[in-house]
Amino acid sequence: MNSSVMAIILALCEAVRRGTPLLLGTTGEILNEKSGSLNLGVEGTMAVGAITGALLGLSTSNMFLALLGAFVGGMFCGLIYAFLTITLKANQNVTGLAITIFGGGLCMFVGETLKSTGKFPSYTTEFFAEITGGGIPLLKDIPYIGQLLFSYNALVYIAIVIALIVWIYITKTKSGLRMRAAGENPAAADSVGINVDAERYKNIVIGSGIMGLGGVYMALFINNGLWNTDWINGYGWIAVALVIFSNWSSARAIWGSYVFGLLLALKSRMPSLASAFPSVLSWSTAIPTEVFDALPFIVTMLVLIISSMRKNKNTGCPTGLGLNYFREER
Amino acid sequence: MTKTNKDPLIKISKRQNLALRYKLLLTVGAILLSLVLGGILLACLGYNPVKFYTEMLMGNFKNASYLKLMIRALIPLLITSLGVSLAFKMRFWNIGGEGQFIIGAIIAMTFSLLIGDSLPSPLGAIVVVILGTLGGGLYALFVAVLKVRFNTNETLMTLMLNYVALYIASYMLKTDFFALQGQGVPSFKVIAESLWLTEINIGKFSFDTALFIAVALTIILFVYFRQSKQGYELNVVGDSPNTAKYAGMKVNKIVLRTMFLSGAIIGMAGALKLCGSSAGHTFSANISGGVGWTSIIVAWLAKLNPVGILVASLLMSILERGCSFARTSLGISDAMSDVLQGIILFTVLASDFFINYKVSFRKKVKDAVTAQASGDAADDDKNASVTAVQIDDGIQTDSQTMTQSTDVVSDIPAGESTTDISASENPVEANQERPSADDNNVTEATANDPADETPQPVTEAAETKEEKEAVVENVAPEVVTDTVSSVEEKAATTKKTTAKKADNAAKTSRSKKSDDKKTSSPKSAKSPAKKAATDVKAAASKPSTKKTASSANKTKSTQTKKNGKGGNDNE
Amino acid sequence: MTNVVEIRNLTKTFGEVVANNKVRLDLRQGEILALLGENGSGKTTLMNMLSGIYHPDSGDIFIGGKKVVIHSPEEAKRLGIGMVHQHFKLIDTLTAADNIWMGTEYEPFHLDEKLAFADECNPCDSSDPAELRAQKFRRFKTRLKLRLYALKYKLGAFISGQPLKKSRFDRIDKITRDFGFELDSRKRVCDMAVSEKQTCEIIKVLFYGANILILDEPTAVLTTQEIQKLFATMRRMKERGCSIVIITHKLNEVLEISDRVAIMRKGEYITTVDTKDANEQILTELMVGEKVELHIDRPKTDFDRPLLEIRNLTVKNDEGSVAIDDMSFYIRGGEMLGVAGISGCGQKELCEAIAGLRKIESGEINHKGQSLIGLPPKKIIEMGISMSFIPEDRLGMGLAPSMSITDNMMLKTYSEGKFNPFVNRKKARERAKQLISALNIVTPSTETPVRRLSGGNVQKVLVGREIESSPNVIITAYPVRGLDINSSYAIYDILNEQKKNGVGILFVGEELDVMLALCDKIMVICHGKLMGVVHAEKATKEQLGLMMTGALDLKIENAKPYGIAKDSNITEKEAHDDKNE
Repeated sequence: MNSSVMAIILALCEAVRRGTPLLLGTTGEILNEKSGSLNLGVEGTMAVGAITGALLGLSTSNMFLALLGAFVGGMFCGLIYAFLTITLKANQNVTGLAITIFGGGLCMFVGETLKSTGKFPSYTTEFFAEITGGGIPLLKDIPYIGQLLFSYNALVYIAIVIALIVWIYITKTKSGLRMRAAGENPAAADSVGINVDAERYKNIVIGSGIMGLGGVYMALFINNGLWNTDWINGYGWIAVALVIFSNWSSARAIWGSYVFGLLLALKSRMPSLASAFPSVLSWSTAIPTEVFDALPFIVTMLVLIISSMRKNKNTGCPTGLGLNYFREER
Repeated sequence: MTKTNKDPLIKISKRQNLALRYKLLLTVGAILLSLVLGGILLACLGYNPVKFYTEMLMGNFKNASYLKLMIRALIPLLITSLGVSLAFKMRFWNIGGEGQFIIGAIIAMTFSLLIGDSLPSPLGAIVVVILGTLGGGLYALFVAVLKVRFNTNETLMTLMLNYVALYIASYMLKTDFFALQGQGVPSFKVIAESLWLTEINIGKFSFDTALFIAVALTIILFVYFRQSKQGYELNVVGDSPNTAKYAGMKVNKIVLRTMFLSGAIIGMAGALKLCGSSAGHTFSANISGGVGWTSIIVAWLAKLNPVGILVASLLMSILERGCSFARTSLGISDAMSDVLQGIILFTVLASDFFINYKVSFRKKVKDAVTAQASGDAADDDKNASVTAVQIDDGIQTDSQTMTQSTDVVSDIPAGESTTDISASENPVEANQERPSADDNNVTEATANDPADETPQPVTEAAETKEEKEAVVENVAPEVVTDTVSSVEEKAATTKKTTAKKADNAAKTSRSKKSDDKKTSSPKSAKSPAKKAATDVKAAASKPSTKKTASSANKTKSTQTKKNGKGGNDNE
Repeated sequence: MTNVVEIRNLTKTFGEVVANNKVRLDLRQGEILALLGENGSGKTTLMNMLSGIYHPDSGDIFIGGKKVVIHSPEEAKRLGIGMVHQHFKLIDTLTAADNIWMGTEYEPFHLDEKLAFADECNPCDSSDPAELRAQKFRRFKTRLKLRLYALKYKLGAFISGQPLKKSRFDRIDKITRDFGFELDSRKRVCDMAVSEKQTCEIIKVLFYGANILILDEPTAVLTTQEIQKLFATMRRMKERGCSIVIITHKLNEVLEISDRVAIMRKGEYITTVDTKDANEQILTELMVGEKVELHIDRPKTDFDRPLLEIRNLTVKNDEGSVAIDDMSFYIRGGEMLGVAGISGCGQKELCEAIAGLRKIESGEINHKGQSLIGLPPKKIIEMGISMSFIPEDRLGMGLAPSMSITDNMMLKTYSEGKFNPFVNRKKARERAKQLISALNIVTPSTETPVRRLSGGNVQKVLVGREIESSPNVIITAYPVRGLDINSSYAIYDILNEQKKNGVGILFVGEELDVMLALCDKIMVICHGKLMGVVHAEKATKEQLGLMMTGALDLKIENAKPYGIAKDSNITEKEAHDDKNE
């Protein structure tokens, strides 16, 4: 009994951990898309955030600085994207892809270069402990529940808080209202005096910063502190699909990302689940791990197909998504 | 409040067209710029950029074997880019190059292992490649069907399929069918020799068969785009789907067909690589080598032109191979090629802006004779002098606007004065403090009052003109001195207060002082006064003369105007 | 009377098209000015420049006697200019209240005055240098404190303005009532009726303190009662001191509501008259210009049996409302039938329906007795029915803009040659060359992309291509729009040629002079309904104008059914009279 419950709890914990970068990426992308720009550079932004955050954090052994560095790195990518698409009116799809390629390359390049020259900062023991440990001190010792709810790293909770703040910002504040207006119908917003370009710049840059946080989480925390200059490996694209899945609401994205996190977690957690519930899940041992790898992507595809079939008028999708606004356009 | 009454500093307008040589120049310039930026990045990390770039070039041209490596990198990139461009031309964002490539290779691998030695070479190879092509095509067709039926986002779908293909490939490594197990690390089986694509020898050099196929494909696609019926349809659909429908084309069919071809070509690239010697005639999970991503850059760089794609693929292959070589010789990570590619794409996107839009700058007010930068032949003379006068007088007439607006606004209940509801408005108190200014407003208004709108005979207009000049004469001293004094004041006060329009309190102090100045400096005011007077007169008279002319001509020359201009009706 | 708005020499060009040419306009304080003009006269462009959406190429705008440059709608708003556009600028998914107030800012701090006041309180006029220094220092401190306070104020205002209070709905409701309107501020725009949306727009501009109101064709979407309500609103606003510009082409409304009327024609300003001195005749004359002797040929041809017959046609537009309402008419071979009507009265939908590009709700379209309904364009061609459609949207529909003249020539014929996978460019190029010389098309070469050609030449390419296929019915919409005199005459000649060959032509146009001279008969549409068909020789412009605005309905006047031919190819149970004047 104990072991089966533990298996479930461990799986759920892993789901939360895997879901957190998704949540951060999705929240950042929601900010981007709600203001009207389809930012496909999530992967690259997360990668750049990862490397800047990791470097800053490891060299100073300070978690806060790691997060700060990641945020700034993300903002940098966002700034490039915003400048190209807003001021220079470039095609949003291609620009996003350019950011992906550039960001990913930059992350690998800087990482590998520093590693090879030995200048890459390494973990101090305290920092390592800080990263691999975490959790709320007293509450995490509660049996089962403590493990499930309170044993996570600070960034997990920060991510939830950020998602909620963004949700409040979008739905309940005046700035969020103006931003939504700019994304829905830039011409109408312009006529009321809302500066469409400024709204987009703001939201793209901050959204990209949030994505950067997602990147550093993956780099530092997911592999339990074993840093490697690994590619984000598709998490960025899942985040873009998650935006559609959660209907452009970052509050819904919270549980959406954990669902996807569970899919991602199944890869490592399935065997223990199978052994805990042999009657139900014994067949699962025969499934190759690649299926679990591919599962999030397959589910994403299903989400895309189903949502495009529905043609729901009440989507949160801004009507002006992906279109550049040029006032004198005839 | 408005910052300035001048024209915007930077005006952006859409451009009609740009000669090809300028387009090329901009693109080449963009690429050079990106190399420079890359160099800066290298320098920041402690490397010597010049050395890096020379090594990069060397890595390709040092000797024949390096050249061969470069060509081996070129072939799949070229073919894939051609396939991608096919879809892009139709504005169908096929980002699934990676996936389609891998699927093509997988299918080819599957059938290679199935067929084995049974077919003579090169028949076997041909069959295998064709099957791989079909596989890639179907993989892309799937997405196209969804797009046509449900308008599913093709960018994300093709992306997801990339990963699915990747994981299928890595799974294959674990099977006995595809790979040799045991020996620690499993490795993929090598396909039968009869299926190998050997090299063709021309004189001293030996080239991969696939190279000829690639070049042939370039030519075929060039012809396809330009000469074939399907290519024509593709171009029309990509240019304007409405026009295609109007012409009776079946847009959906064309989309499906083109996506199939796009995926098929990319699949062929994968199959060719499998059968060719560059990959050792065997499969690997990494068989694509990132070509799906690079091909997008190549296609965009070449603006979807097959010949341009050939050149751009060459450029990118040199870049990639060079970076790989630089890694061995200089120890620089070969992720640098990704970085450089990204930067190139940025600069090319930026240069696209200058190709599509025209940026014009504001001309100084003094520069009134020449037309505006945008090339209009507008008559700026009158505008300039009027502007000069008006800007100086603007401060005085400010109150009039404010009086009006505040009157109306206070009438309309604008809610409680909470922060989020109240409309922004100018303070009311300023108006009461400037009695002197008000007089000028009245005269100012009359001075600028244009002639009546109703069509009047010429004589009446002449009268108005004289009238106006008389009015101006009477007013001149007051108006002028105030103008002059305000100009002096402006010079005296700080820049900030001058620039800001809602300068109410400052004017308060000024108008008090202006009374003093009036008596103290009549002499110095004279010559600028005269000029200002003539300016005001000129301003007043010029509009009226223009109107005189136009109102006189209106009734008579309607016909001539109409005939002369013909049908110039526009929205 | 002071002028609240003065426009002088305003010019705006879009590429090659001159939308406004040295236009002038005056708006007096507290008046309602009607801006009258036909389609394409440039009224909306002018007002768009006033409201900050477009930036003029040259010319000046004076507000309250002071020259301004309006960079953006925001600045127009601050100057007190509010425009209610023809196509509403509302955010569909938001409520009325949100749409209205979301552009507000907090009460400004007025830092400048406070600084100046501070300067006065801290005079720096001492003659003693030490004391002077002390005075300057005091001044500096005060200024610094003021600036910091301003910052704190801004931040506080910003933050406290953030939360979307529920009370905002009530506030907007109250304001709405104060203005004298009725609108549920909680309603989402997508759920609103058209007149409610317009009310929302009006409240929006009034909310921001607009005292210069611009209404762009406001009555186009309203019923008669709603129009009266709108007029009452306008008079109310006038009493409050607003100055209103109403852009319209409806003469009866102009006469009812306006104080003065400014007329524009073809991008030029004509004149302004007092409404009390005007009547429909005068206004029509000014609007369409005097009757000009156009030397357009009208060859006499023998009319054939009806080639194309339309019965009880009902077509919907893209938004779902009825565009063509139970219309019947016919075109004989060798006859040119003109279609007159205000822009948006349904001509576009009519043409598309006949050409097979738009779904038909009900009715019949018969070509020589054969029904065309439901057949795709290609099938129609196969049936031997050759119908050419020259659409109004030349570069968006009729031609592929980035492709060359040669490529566009073969738009409908490219699939010739059953087993040949290649297109025959040579043939197309030949045809293009012939066309270029026959019609004097100005172009660097046959391979120039058509979007680079000037408007007239684009049209020549389009018309030329359509004529090429030897159709027996030609439908053409605004064929000479934007063309200079010579090109226009060239087009008329082409059409006349076709007429002589027995082709039936449906000519949707906007210049009544031309249609009166060129067409044999003219039918007038108003709001999708047929107002009547007249012989061009006997008709007058005034008559057409009245029909276009719905003031004259010949069906009612003459009490005869229109649109059914005596010698119809469609077998009828009863015989109807042929349409006549």
